[in-house]
Amino acid sequence: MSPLAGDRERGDDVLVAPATPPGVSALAVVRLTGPAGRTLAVARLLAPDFPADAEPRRARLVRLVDAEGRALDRGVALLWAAPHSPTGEEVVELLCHGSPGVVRGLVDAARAAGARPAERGEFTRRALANGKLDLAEAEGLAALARAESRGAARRALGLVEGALSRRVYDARERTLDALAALEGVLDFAEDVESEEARRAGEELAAVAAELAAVAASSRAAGERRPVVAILGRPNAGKSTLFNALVGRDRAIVTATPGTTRDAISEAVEIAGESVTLLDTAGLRDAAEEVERIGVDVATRAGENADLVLYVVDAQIGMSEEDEGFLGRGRGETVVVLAKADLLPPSPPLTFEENLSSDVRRRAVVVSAKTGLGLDTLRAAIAARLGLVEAEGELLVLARHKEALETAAALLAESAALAADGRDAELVAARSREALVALGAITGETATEDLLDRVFSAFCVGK
Amino acid sequence: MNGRWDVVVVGGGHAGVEAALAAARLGAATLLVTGDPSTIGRMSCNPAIGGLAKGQVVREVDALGGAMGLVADRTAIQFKVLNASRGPAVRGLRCQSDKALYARELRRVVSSAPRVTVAAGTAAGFAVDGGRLAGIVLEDGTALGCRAAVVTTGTFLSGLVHVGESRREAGRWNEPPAKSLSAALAALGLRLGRMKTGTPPRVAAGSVDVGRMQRAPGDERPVPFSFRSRGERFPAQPQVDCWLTHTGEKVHDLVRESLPLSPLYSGRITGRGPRYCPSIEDKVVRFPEKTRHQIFVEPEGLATDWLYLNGLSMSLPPATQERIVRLILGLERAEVLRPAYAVEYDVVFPEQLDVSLETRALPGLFLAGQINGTSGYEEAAGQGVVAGTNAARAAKDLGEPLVLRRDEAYIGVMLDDLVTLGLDEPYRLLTSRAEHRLLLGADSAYARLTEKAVAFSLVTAEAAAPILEAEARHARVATALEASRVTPDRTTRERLAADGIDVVEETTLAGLLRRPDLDAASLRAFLAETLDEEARVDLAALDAEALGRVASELRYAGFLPRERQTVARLKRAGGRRIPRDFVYRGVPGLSLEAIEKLERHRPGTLGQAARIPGVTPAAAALLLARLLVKDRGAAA
Repeated sequence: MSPLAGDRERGDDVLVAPATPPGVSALAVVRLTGPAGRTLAVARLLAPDFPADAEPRRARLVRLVDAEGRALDRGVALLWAAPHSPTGEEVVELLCHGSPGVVRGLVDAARAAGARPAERGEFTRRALANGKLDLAEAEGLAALARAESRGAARRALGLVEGALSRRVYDARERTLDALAALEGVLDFAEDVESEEARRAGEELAAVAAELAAVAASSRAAGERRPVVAILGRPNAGKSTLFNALVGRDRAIVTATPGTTRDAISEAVEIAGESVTLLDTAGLRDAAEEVERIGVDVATRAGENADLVLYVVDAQIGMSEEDEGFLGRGRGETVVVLAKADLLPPSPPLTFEENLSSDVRRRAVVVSAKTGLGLDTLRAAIAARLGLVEAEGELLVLARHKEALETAAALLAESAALAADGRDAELVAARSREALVALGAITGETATEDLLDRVFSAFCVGK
Repeated sequence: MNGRWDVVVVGGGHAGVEAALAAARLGAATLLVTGDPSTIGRMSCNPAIGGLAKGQVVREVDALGGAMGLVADRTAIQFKVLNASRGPAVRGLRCQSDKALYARELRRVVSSAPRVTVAAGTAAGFAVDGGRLAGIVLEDGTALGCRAAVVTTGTFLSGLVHVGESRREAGRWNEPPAKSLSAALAALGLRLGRMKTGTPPRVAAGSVDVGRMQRAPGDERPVPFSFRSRGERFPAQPQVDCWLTHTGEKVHDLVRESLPLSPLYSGRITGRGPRYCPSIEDKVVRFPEKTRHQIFVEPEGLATDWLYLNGLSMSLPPATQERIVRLILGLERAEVLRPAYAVEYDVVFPEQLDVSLETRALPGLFLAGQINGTSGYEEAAGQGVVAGTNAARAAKDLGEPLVLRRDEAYIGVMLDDLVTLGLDEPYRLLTSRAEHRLLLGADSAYARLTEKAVAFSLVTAEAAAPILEAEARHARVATALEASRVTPDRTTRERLAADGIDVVEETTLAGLLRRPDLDAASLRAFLAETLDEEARVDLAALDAEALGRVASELRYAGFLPRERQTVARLKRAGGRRIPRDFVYRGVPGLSLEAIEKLERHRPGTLGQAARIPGVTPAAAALLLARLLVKDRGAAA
């Protein structure tokens, strides 16, 4: 056993893990975390040029070697000293070329030196245990790793950087201040003026309103990705539209009606959000069994989708059959008039006349071939799905949103009780429940903080 | 060994006396040993019992069969309910006591209690046999054999009294301290700390001009602490007034000027003082914007000239003190009978105790009162009852200790805080420490604790019978009020209008009582007219406090269920027991700091673990995960 090996049970062993995904890439990062001294010692077996007195946070060009000391790569080593590191422990990051062989060689060398390969989430768990992250921030980190779109990533980063935590801490601070005034009155009846308690009620109302606003503008992460199904009669141009939105030839396109049988799904980004796009079989009374099954699948997909793009060949216009299918759809529908490039230039779009005014309002004219109308269609999808991000929107988990709403409701209730001139202990009871709800987000309790505040704010005691 | 006792109690203050009486109630042959038995039950500091949160504790002690409430009722010279204008959960019963009468009455209770023997002696060490406590060794070498002991040293454990620059070894003004015991406790492996408390100057009543002060009278209708006082003359003593005056800028200037002479500020006192009972030096330094501070002038008894200047504790030299006192309105010619002084003393950090108050270092050894870092007569008495009970149970092998939960009693809140949170200043109970405050009103103490008191033989079934009967009556009245409809017909409206009450909608009597604008007392006549004969009899038997409790429970009803739900939820997660021998070093991901804290505190439950400062919620979650794994392993 290497002298550098720690005790897993005690949690004082050095962990090693690639921080980048497997496969070939320009760069890869291998990360070590563990007790001060031993972590650097393990790293120095992998990067012998890395000095024992390396300056933290200063990148250094190093030679990287394998377990036998043979050269593997040239890379960069970076030391993070405890506790100012991502995990709160000593951390060394080794940046190497993104070759699976180099990464494996480094991890194996670290293991030979006594480090243990980290399990999934173990770096985060150490950060959490060392108080580097609060609960909401750790959850943000997990959400960031899973983010499928730019919007989701940006909001998750906000969570990691404490956007939600900051709002919660702020609300918690202000609630604690207000509560301290109430508690001061209750516990030191003879010393604290009750004027303070009256002002507390107003402050609670303000905090309640703010939390309600935060909850309302919050998006719960991990919510299902919205599904957009493309429906329409055979050969209306569904697959061409699908490919145009996906950005590559994913679906097979032929002139033969009924080419698409099964539903094809692909994730696409619309307005910075990830959306599942479904291409389906053309809707008609099919004779052949496989195609009939395809039609059934399409019909069901249309029923379950959050939004249906109903594609109509612009040259043909709406048929009675189309009206029939449209009438059956349950969710939101956007009518897409496809193949606009094939229309005679003038007089323009007379076919609109055979559309009902209701359908006309929902119709978007596109040409997948020329790109005409695609941006308009994307905007229409984003608008219908509510993808457009509100100013200052926060990513939260479902439990955060619930806790925010609970806290807002409880604070509003305590503010109302205070306004009615009800007893301070009832106002305090509700405010305390609100603090418990807020504490559930970041993981804190209130009593000791509260007392500190009472004592620092009021001259109490005889 | 000289003698063979079930329980030896060291110390005769408020903790020691309740401990000895409780142990004796459980049938233990009990010896109370103290330096000077004539000082048993002495009130070292203020001449008052009760207060906010403290009044609730006195009631709880009473519900557990203790002496404090009854003795206070018999010797009080003023009763006043604090927070009387607020809800019953936060009202605090408080009385001014005649100090001499109080101590004399408590000594009488002790000397007449069966199975309690009193002896003079100063404890110096412990006899240990097979890892268990086997006796208390006195300074003269006498060994008192016992199966369990409760140590209640108050401010006497290596006590050091400071008066200005001068200091002397004492536990109170001029009473010798216990000097050897600190070392004996440390030798058991217990960590000791040092704390400080202070007491204000006393002045001669004849030299004070109360005409220039504000009169602070007691309540017109005093409320007794003890259920047992119902059978006695009450109030038993003539009732007197207190007086209110204030400090001013001149006082503050002089205090600021004199700070270099204060051992608190010159660094001669190292022990931590309480924030909730700040000295005048603290008040002036920390709140410079305040132009005055209140001083309550309280008589120390009927037959004494001594007045207590509540709010003016300090550690300045006597000559400076006299100048400060004489700058206060009404005290211009005051004769200072005893200067304010500070006392430093040793404490045992209470996280080394189980919630039963037994030390983990030496099974059979229990600690109670100020030695555990608390302040206050009531906090001491509450711990005394629990420690005495559990010492007797340990001595007589009666099984599981008495444990009071946080949602059950302020004593439970205090014990859990002490053993879980640890301390950095003297601990005083406050209602805001109780997350289940609405459940813990003084008016519900008997409802909360009587059954347990009987089960643990602290109260006899015979003594509990009238209490339980009153509880049953209470429940019957509450039910009848819910069932009695009030229809706003003309007769009813006119009848209620006579009492200034407006009723628009159909409701019940309970509905009327729930209205925040109505008080129970003014509705009593109408309730009696409306209830049926049987309920009317029950109602007539409720005194003002009991009727108030019916109303408050109706008003709190909308809030209580939620509190109860929270209790239930916490009990599920927080009540999960952690085995005493749990190996924290085996929990993956737990930080070294958390491991050290957990090993020091050895929390009994996950809830306690989560409340230990330094144990993060994440650490608690890791612990829970480990406990779940263990449970599954055990089940498999």
